[in-house]
Parts: sequence; structure tokens; C-alpha cells
Amino acid sequence: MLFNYLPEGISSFSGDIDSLIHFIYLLTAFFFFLFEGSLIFIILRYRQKKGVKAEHVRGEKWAELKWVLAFVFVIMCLDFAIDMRSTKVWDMLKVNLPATDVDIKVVAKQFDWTFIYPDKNGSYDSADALSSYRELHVPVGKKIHVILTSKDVIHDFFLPEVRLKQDVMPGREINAWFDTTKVGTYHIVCNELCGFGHTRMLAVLHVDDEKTYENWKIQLYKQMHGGV
Amino acid sequence: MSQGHHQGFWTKYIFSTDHKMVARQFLLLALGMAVFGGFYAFLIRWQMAFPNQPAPFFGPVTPDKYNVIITMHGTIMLFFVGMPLLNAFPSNFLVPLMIGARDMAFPRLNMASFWMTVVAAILLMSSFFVPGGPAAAGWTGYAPLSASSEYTGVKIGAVLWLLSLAFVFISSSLGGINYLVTVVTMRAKGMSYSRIPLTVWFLLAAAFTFFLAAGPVLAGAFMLLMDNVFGTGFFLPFKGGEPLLWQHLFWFFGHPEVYVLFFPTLGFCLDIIAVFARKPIFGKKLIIGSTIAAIALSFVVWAHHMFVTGMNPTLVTPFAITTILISVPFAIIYVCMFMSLKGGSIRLEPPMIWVLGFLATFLVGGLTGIFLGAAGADIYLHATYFVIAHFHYTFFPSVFFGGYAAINYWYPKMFGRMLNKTAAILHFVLTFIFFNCTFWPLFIVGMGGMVRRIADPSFYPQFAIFSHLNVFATISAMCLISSQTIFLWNFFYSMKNGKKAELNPYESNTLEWLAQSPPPHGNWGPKLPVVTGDPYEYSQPGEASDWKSQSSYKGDAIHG
Repeated sequence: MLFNYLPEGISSFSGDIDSLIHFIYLLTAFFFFLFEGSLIFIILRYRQKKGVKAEHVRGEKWAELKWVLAFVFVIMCLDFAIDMRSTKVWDMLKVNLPATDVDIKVVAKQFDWTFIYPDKNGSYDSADALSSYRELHVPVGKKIHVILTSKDVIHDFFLPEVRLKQDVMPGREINAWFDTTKVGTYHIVCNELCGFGHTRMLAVLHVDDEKTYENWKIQLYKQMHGGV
Repeated sequence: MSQGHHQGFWTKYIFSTDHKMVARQFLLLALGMAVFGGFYAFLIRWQMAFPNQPAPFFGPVTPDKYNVIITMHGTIMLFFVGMPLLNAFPSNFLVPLMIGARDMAFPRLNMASFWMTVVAAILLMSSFFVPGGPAAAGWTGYAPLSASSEYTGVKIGAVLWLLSLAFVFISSSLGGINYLVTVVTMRAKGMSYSRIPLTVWFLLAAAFTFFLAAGPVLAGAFMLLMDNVFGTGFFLPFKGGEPLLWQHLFWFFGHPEVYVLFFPTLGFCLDIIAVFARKPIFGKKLIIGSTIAAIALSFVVWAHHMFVTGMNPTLVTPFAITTILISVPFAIIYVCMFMSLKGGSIRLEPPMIWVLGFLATFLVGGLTGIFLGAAGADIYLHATYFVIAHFHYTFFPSVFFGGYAAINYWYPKMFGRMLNKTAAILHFVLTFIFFNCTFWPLFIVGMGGMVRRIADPSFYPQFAIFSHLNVFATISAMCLISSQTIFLWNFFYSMKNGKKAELNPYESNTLEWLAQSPPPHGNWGPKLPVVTGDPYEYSQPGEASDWKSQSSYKGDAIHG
């Protein structure tokens, strides 16, 4: 039920994040039922009864405590299992940036997104750099390197279907990467309160096949340069 | 009554230095502010379920108003409901009574601490009447949004918000000093540290944690004030500042603050479990040790609120490990509570029911924290409704289930009358059901990718699939808020009309139950109680009675 509305994953790593969440879900669900079940059992079993006195156990002796500590040891081991899996996902996505195919600069400001594609020399400032307002087009299957920066306050670049989330900081350029596995139109959401227009700070992610992507770039170039 | 002397209306009810009156003032303040906090909660939920339809008693919730409402809801619930209800009120009322003292070490400081909170509340609420309106950058006040009016249009409101928090901090610090000094210097004869009830231990743990955490955020708040008022740029990158610094300072305080609002409830729960299961607390020393470990850990987990901010990603892993490791001390405490219940003779009186409800609900909050502490999963879940559901499953049980447990338990001592039991149980049942119905769906909504702090979900066609869940949560929230009127009625009606309370209606061991109900000014007769036993001597084998008071003190004027 928890996963009824999980958006479909469209990146090479979305499955890893989802299965990490599933793994934690299974573990926590087990302990949820264990504790809630014990609580209900204890309430039913040990309700006050005439003539029955409570046990006098203080939990100070090793014999009484060893099961508690054994239980806690199990929890600690499971904690580390979660840590291991989580760190693997984290490192892959946020620490070890792979070699990428396409660079795009993402500029956030109150309350919109601009996506800048560099010119042939890799410059984002030249007249040949392409600037797309609220529409991010990426070629399917390619690894995308995004350079995130903000002109005013903190924003957040959230691509739910890609499973990517990264704050966008003013005064910094943060590097992130993602890829896609499926052509389509997806969501880009600002996920950090950035002022009264925060709600409207949306954009669209277009995952195109190679040809559509190149055509779109040519069209955009024409638009920017008066149809030359 | 040797300590009694004539008090006028002003010294008795308004500028009182009596710890019990100060406690009741804090309690009333918390309940009063909870009405505002609850109303804002209602407006938030209304907008999520019925976007852009005028809210009853308010009108349309426009985006600028929405940002104010979420900011105020968080600020009020944490600093003006949670802290007075869980820290100031019980510490003031219980610390002197439970350790056998006549009052606090510094009664005037105590009075000052209450009136500072009143000033803080007035400052906060007055921001509704200034140009630009109240602060609207969220209760976490992330810079640069909060650092310059250029970004929000709010100037005076942001300054008032910061000043208000400063007063809360001063108030809590004055209170904390008072509780610590009182426990160290004013314990009754025989009240060794090992005989101090766990409620007092945990109230002290909360005060101590607050002290350790408050410094950095005060410095941060001062810098934020300078940025707002004098145009400095501590947090403004275009003036050479660093926005992430605010988050570090804030969360260095923010995470321990969570425990400031959680420890008192643990204390109440343990004491109430002992009384209503008629058993000693299982593993008391282990519990205290675990608490110390949890306090230590709480100071090295703060960056788990900041995984995706762009902080050094290699630093994230150590913070994720410490965060998930926090499950260990709390698992110990939980198991010890369950072991204390097991084998007991459980009496399902209202205070105990609230404690059992706390155990059942807080568990969900604790377990769902693991999703967010695991950095890899947090990439997706950060700042979604999953987070909202998670922390409401920690705060709500802690502040309200714990607070109601304490009020139900100590009400007879506070007011000399019993609460109506049927109404108390009905209040619990409705609160328990509607709390779960309000926040459980939000886990599903959050897992579906709905983000928090958006003012108008109708802008997001992808969230349309959640509308039935959002409507369900909102209607439940409205029922949850309405159910609290049962409590308010019970609370005020029983004050005058409740059944007269016996001295010790629950047959508890701790000292406060030896004083009159309510205790007079000075608490005790000519002689102070002498403590001869442990607070948890319940169901001793071979004894006829299943309890044994900590002291053989007999008051001078025992009634009923």
C-alpha cells in the first residue's frame, strides 16, 4: 500500500533507490508488527486480575538483561546492513560522478528554471549557448551532467521519476548527474520553500530520442537567433 | 500551614513566584497557543484537500498566507506548545514536589521565565499586524530567504519572529538553570540521586540537552538578525556569506531540540508505567545509560537534515551512520518499557492508556526515521510528505500523547479534583483514531512524491491521484482537532465540578502524592518529608501491599 503511488522509475539508478526503500520497508514492517503485536499481547495478557500480584523484576541482573542486549545487538547489525546498502546508493549517485555525455547548466531563480546548453567550446556565456526556459530536454540513455546554481535563494531540483534530488544553492555550482531509460515527458519540481511563488516553480523534463533531441536544439537555436 | 501567608490576587495568580502557579500558567499558555497552532494546522490541511476554496473562519489561503501559516504552525507548536507543555509546566510543577522541596531554588527567576514566554508569544502574534505580515520562511527560517526582505517582502515580521524566539530561549534557559540548581541543592533528606524518580531525571536531561544545543543557534539567530536589520551578509552569498552555515547552526540545535521535546514524555511514561503496571521499572540504569548515549549521539547527527543541500557528499555517510545508530539507545528504552509492562498488573486508567497509545504511535515515527536517515533513500524522500508524516508521528505522540498522559496523571494533584474518566477515555479513543487517520495516508502520499510546503496542489496535475487521500487526511484532521474540545471541557469543568481527589488516588510511591491536593504554598507542613526508599518499590514479594511510598511523611492537614 505504501508504494501504490510510487512514480515509475526512469533512470539506471531508480531501481537501486527503490529497492533500498523496499529493504528498509521490510525490516521496519517486521519490527512494527513485532512491537505492536507484543504491546497488544501484553495489554491483554497482563491486565489487572483479582488476587494476581505483579512480578517484581528490576532488570538489573545480567541474567535478566542479556536478552535485551542480544536483541539490541541484532538491531545494531541490521543498522549496519542498512548503512551498507544506503552508502552504496549514495556514493554511486552523489560521490562518484561518472564520465558524462551531456553538460547542462541549471539556473534557478525566484520562481523559474532556465536550462543552459553550452556551445561547442563548452561555454555557457557565449551567444551560441542555448537557453531553454522551464523545459529541460535530454537525450535518452545518455549520462547528463547538471551544474546547479541559484541567483537568489535556495531552491531544489527534484526529478521524482529519475529519483534525483539536489538543493540548488546561491553562490555555488553543485555538480550532479543522472540518466534516463525511457522516452517521455516527466516532472521537475522545486522542493525547497523559496518564497510566495514557490508553488509555481515547475518545469518539464523531456526525455527525447537522439533525433528529436537534436532537432529540438536546432529549433531552439533558430528561435534564439531569429530563425537564421 | 506554616508557609502560608495572605496573598493578593496579583501575587497569587499573575506575578506568582509559587512553582505550582507558574506551572499552571505555563500549562494554560500552552493550551491557549495550541488553539492557534491547531487552527493553522486546519488551514494547511484545508488548502491541501480543497485548494483555493475559502477556508471556514479564514477565507482563501493564498500562497503568501500559506507560507505564513506553515511558519507559524511550526514555530507555535514547537516553542509555544511543546516546550511549555513538556518542559516548563511539568518541570515547574513536579521537580520541587518529587524531590521534596518547598519551591524552586530561584522563584523570581521562575516568574521571569514565564513572563518572558508571554512576551515572546505577544511578539510573535503581533507580527500579524505589522506591514509585510509575519515571517514566512518556514519554521526553520532557511537563509537567504529569511535573511533579506528582498526575497519575501517580510521585514518587521522576520525581526519579530527572531526576537520572539530569543525570548523563548532566554525563558527556557532561566527555567533550565532553575531546575538543575533545584535538583542539585534542594533534595529532601534521603533523596539520593538514585532515588530521584525518572520523570525528574528526564526533565533534567531535557534541560541539559537544551543548554548544550542552544548556544550555536543563538549565535546564528543574532547573525540572521544583523542580516535583516543592518544589512550584513553572514548568510548572503552575494555579500560573501554562506547560506549553509545557518542550516548547520540551526540543525545543531534542531536535532537535540527534538529530544528536548521527547525526554520529558519518556519520563512520564516510565513513571506512569510503574504505577499502573504495579511493577518496578525494568533496567532503570540501562535506561539512564541509554539516554546519555542518545544525548551524545543527538549532537552528531544534525547533518541528516542536510543530505541533499550540497554539503560535502562524503561527509554524509558518517552522519547517516550515527543517525541510524540512534535506533540502538531508543530500542533499549523501548524494550525496557515493554519488559516493565510484561508480568504487570495493568490498570487501564486514562494516564496509562495515553502511555500505551504513545508507545503504539511513536514506534511508527521511530521506524520511519530509518528511511530518512538512510542517505540513499533520503535522496528521494527528503522534503516530501513522507517527512511530514514521519515527524508528526514523533512530535504528536511526544507532545500530545505524553502531555495528555501527564495532565491526566497529575491533574488530581494540580487541582484537587479528578477528571471525568469517561470523557478522558473518549478523548483518547477519538484522538488515537483520528491522529492515525490524519497522518498515515501522508506516508503514502509522500512515497508517491508529493512535496511539502507547496501552497497549491492544483498546480501539480501529478498529485491529483492523491486527492482522495488528502481529503481523507483533512477530514480526519478536522475530527482530530474537534475531539480536543472534549479535553478542554473536561479540563475546565472538572476543575470546579470534578470528584474530589484523594491524596494519592493511584497508590503511587513518589513524594508528590504525600502533599495535599493541591499542595499549599510551600508544599509541605512544618517538616519536610524524609525519603527512605526507591520510587519503584511496587509488588515486593512477601509484602501485603503492592506499593510502598518513598517516605513515611504524614502531612499536617490531610483531607478526604
